[in-house]
Amino acid sequence: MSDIDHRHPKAEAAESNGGTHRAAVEERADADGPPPDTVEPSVRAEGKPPTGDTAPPTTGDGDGDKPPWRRRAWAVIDERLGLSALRYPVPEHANNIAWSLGGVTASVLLVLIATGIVLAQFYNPTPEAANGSVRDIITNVWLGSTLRGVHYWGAQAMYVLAVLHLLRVFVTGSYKRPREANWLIGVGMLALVIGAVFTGTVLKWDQESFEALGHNLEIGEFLGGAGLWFSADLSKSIPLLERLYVAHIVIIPGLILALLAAHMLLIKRHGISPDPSLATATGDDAAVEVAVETAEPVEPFTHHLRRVGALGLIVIGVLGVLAVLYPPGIGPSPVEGIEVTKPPWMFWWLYTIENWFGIQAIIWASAALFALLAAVPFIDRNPARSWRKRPVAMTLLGLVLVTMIVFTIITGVSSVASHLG
Amino acid sequence: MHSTRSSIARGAVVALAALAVVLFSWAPSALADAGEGESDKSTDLVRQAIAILVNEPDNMESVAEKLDDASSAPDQSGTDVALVVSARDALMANDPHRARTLAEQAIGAKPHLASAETPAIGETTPSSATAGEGTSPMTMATGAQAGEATFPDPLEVRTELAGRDLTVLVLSILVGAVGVYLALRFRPQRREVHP
Repeated sequence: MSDIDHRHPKAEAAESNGGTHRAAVEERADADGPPPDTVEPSVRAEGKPPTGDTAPPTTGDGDGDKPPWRRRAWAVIDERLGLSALRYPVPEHANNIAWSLGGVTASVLLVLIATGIVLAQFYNPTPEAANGSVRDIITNVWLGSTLRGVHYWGAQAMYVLAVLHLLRVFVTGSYKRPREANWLIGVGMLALVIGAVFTGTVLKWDQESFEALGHNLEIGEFLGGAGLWFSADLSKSIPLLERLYVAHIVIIPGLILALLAAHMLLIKRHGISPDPSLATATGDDAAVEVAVETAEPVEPFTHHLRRVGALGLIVIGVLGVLAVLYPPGIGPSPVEGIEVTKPPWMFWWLYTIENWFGIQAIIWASAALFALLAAVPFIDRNPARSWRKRPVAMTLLGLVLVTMIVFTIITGVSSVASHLG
Repeated sequence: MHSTRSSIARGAVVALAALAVVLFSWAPSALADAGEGESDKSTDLVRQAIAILVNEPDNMESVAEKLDDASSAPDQSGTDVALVVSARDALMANDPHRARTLAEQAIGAKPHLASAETPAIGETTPSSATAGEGTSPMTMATGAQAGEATFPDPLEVRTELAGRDLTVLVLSILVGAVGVYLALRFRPQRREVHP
């Protein structure tokens, strides 16, 4: 494919195989709307937006059985909002739980934004009052403890779901051409999620928070000019806590949402990544993989959304239960010059590395991990997507995971005194 | 071909297990001193002693060490050393509550009242100018200063599973159950693929 050939790679491959293929259909649909051959009638009907009341859309969910007034109402709404554009076809495997992890992560993001907006009405980001305002949220604000609990557990759920999503993408080789850019965007979003967890940890302003802030300062100092934002020197009259608060509620969520938009646009552009297990069930030829992909039944994207919504409801229910049964507490206000706490468990592997090699190793280890993640699509030239045919990539993944898990356990079983020496 | 892949997989698992063993065995010897130089101001050291007492009430050794260092620190301005010594004696007498009160009085910090003490929103805790930089009545904390001079107890949130908590719990379970039902209803049919 030349640089000026903008055809979808799957479409090109599919067309080279001959026959009717969904990828080729999708490519043509980008320009002309869905063709009549391969997309379900319910999906096909959404190719053109309805014009006025004369062309109510078929929804594929039994719209034909709906009362006329509902069809007319839908037509009026759809003509103005173009919601039927969401009914583009996606392969059936998109609704598997593994392929829905990204969507569920996004649903948790919505929960975090909603609870965060409420908490922001009662949180005071000045160092003198931050710890007290969190205590006030817990003890005096109506449902404050529960909301904070949902926010606290939601942050951890988002981290876990984002990592699981990344692992699924890695194991199924979904970062391979043409999805390299989307992989990079995803890695960037994971970094931002970790940043959100870190800044959120600081905001409660207890001893754990202050020690985390100390690491923030040390890292900023180590980075020199590049670390100016992380240092207290950038704005001498404004407490660092307030700047981290701004990062937590504006900068980081804003960047996540911007990258999320790009992430979703690229998913739409490239299509849902193929499921290698479907191909390996019938052969190990790349052409077979494409053929399986294009022969797989499709469903409208709205079915994926409702599946993600259902899974999101499960997560919200679990978050609510955790928030009630295991509400997060808060430590005393901080004191400089001591280290008596451990960071949140997501950072335990870095805590071990700091113990062994000093605080600068935190930067090197984090940078190495994310550099490796960013390089994955470019150093992995194996065209196969199935994990069974990618022993090098899987071994590398195993090495990284085992190392991080072992380091995490070491911190989990060690005392804080070990950190202090 | 299959046996080759299996042996590779077995080798990879063994290698990963070996890596885990090496890392675990390395850990104890590699845990190194990451501490920093101690402050020479008795005020700081008393504050640290209080913080350790609050965060780690079982770590009496560290608290006593900090109080010892505070009573012999080069810069003892703003600290009543006699009260620091009394605090250490109270600690040795196994009375950490009195030790904490005396230590707080030694630096003019606001004595704690109870574990449920909750400062009002917007309340600054000026205490005395000896309680640390940035916490005097005229100066708000800047940069990376901690800002607060009180040492409230850790607030553990207890759930009694009554009233609002019980309602939220039941609603959460209902929401989760609806999610399970819908997720099962909307799950893919896993139709067979014929390439």
